[in-house]
Amino acid sequence: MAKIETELLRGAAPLAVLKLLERRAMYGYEMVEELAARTSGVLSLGQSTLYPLLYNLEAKGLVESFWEEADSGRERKYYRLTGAGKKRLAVDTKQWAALAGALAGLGVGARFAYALGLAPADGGAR
Amino acid sequence: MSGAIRRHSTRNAERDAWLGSIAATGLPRDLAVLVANVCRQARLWPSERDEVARELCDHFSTGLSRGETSETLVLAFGDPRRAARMITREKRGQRPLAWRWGPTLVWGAGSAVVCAALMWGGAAWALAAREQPRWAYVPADTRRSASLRTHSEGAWEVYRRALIAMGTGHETHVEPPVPTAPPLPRSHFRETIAGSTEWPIVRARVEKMQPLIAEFRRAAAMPSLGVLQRPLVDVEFWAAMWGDEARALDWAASILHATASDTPAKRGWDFTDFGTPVHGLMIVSPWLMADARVAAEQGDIQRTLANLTAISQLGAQLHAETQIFPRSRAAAVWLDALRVARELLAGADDRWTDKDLESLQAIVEGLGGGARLRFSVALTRSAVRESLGSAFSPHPYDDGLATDAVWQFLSRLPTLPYTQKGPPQGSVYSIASLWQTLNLRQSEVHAAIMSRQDEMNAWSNEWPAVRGEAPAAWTSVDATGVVVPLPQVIVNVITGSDLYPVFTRWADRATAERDGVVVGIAVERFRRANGRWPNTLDELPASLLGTAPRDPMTGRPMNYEVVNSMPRVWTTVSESFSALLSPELLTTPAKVSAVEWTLWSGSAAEK
Repeated sequence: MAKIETELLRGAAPLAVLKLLERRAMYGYEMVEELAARTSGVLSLGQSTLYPLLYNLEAKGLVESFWEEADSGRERKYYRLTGAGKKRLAVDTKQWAALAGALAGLGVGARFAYALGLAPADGGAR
Repeated sequence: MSGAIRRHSTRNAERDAWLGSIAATGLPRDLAVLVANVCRQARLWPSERDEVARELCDHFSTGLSRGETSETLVLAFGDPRRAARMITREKRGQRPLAWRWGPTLVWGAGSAVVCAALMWGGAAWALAAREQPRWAYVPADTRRSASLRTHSEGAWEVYRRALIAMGTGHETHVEPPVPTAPPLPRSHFRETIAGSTEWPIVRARVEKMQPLIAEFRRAAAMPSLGVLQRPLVDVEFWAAMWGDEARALDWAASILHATASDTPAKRGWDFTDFGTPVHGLMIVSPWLMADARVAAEQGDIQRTLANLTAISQLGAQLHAETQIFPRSRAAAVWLDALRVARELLAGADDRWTDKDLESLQAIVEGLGGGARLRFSVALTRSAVRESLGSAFSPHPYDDGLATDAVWQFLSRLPTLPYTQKGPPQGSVYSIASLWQTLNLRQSEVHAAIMSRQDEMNAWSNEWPAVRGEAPAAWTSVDATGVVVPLPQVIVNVITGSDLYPVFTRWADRATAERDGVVVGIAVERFRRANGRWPNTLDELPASLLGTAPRDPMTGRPMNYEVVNSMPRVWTTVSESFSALLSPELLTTPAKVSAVEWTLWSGSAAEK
């Protein structure tokens, strides 16, 4: 797995988290697992990075948190998208799609775009 | 006490709740330590810290339940210090707006206060700091003054004590409040005569201030200040006022440094002007006038005469010790004495002995030092020259307008009526101000004057008094066409520094007034000795009138006549010149006709 530059990851991580939360509410560890699994480890966020990122998105009002009892009987903190988060996700998705598409058009990063679900499997080749 | 302990314990329990949350999860030690380190290093509120601890504990518990080892989870979490730092930043971002911006605002306000304090402090320092002048003229002047006359020889100490005795507040000094009376302007002390409506108010104040007035009389017999310079005098004045010499020195130094950035010479200061002695005597003279009237009313003739003598001495001090402008104040002081003397003569009853009248006569005769009262001439010349000193430099304003204004003033000068405040004097100042304001362009003004020289000469020839007395600068321009330096022409011709006194003849007027009163006193003494008025002045023996004064207006003997048992001394003036002789300026003699000017009338004495 190629190591992703920090700057690049910093821009993609919020979008990735918002995308994860698009379908359902999730808790921190679950998001770590999901990201690692769905991006083949490319967007495997350091766990020390994930929680500050979640707090940041929460401060911006893009996600909201709530505590709920887990199966284990422990209190667990879940995150879900807010209305603002959904709008931001839509906007960011378009931007990244454009970017990934442009890069794919150049034959760059087609797999990365595909991994994020932002580009067709053929890498955007025409 | 127990309440305090309870509160302290409660606070501690709240603060350490996150530790309990970690312990409750039963995490392995290395993970518990990791969570504890993150939470401890994160600078958060206890509630925030507890929430983070619970979330991280759940995170690691979940990891363990998924089969991860502690070591793997610790490794995957990353640097706890970095995590703590990032969590701190993001968690604080969730806090209320007021909390997030509060510190910034506090810092901003604090910084603004500090900056303002520094600025004000700097400004205060800059203003208050006593710079070292290139020429320390205050001490220099002080030394110079001290060398001429020691401080103890001057009357200033008396004035100082008198001023201090009056309390604080300049105007209050002059007119101490009388509970039952409305405030009176200072001029009323000079002008309010016995029997008038406001006389009781003035009299009450005068009686209240007797000790101070006695001090003034004593001061009048002493040299006032010698040749002191204005800054020094101001220092003295304010030191007395404030009772703080150091403050006065600082004040004077700051003023001098502020206004004379380099040297006084650069500013055109010569320090021959006297401010404070004049102010002091302006305070003193009205009090002495009022007390002379009060004393006469009370029959204390000696005190009356002492006050008149003091006024005369004050005038002499001013005239002798001051330069240029304040000589007009000397004139004012002398004319104050003349005014009171005329009043007293009119109201002199049997309480006035012949000796008293003789003393009064001597006092009046001595006004102006026994010489022609030249003060008005000095006033005009100096005021004009001072005012016009900086009038000549290029300027974009309307020179023609200013020149016309000057010309109109000149044309009207011979016919300007006198009033107490004096259009002639006022006009001189007005013209001077105009010149200063417009800053006339030299060449154009010169051209304007040259174009009208014939007019000016024709005009001057209409006035016998002017012929032969016109300044040389004028004639040289006229006769030879040589361009005399314009400032000289302007000062001499336009402003009338020489012509104006000739036209107005203030000096002659004042002398005539004075001599008229002297003759009047002699006539009154004759009446008391002989039971009748003299038929002519020749009847007066030398003991009453040494040498009959001549009328300075005509050069002939003073006119005297008795009509219907009513004597009067009068002078004759030309009809055109009479327009200048409005008697209100100096005293209030009756103006019997356009050509006669009564200097003294015995009507009141007859009564």
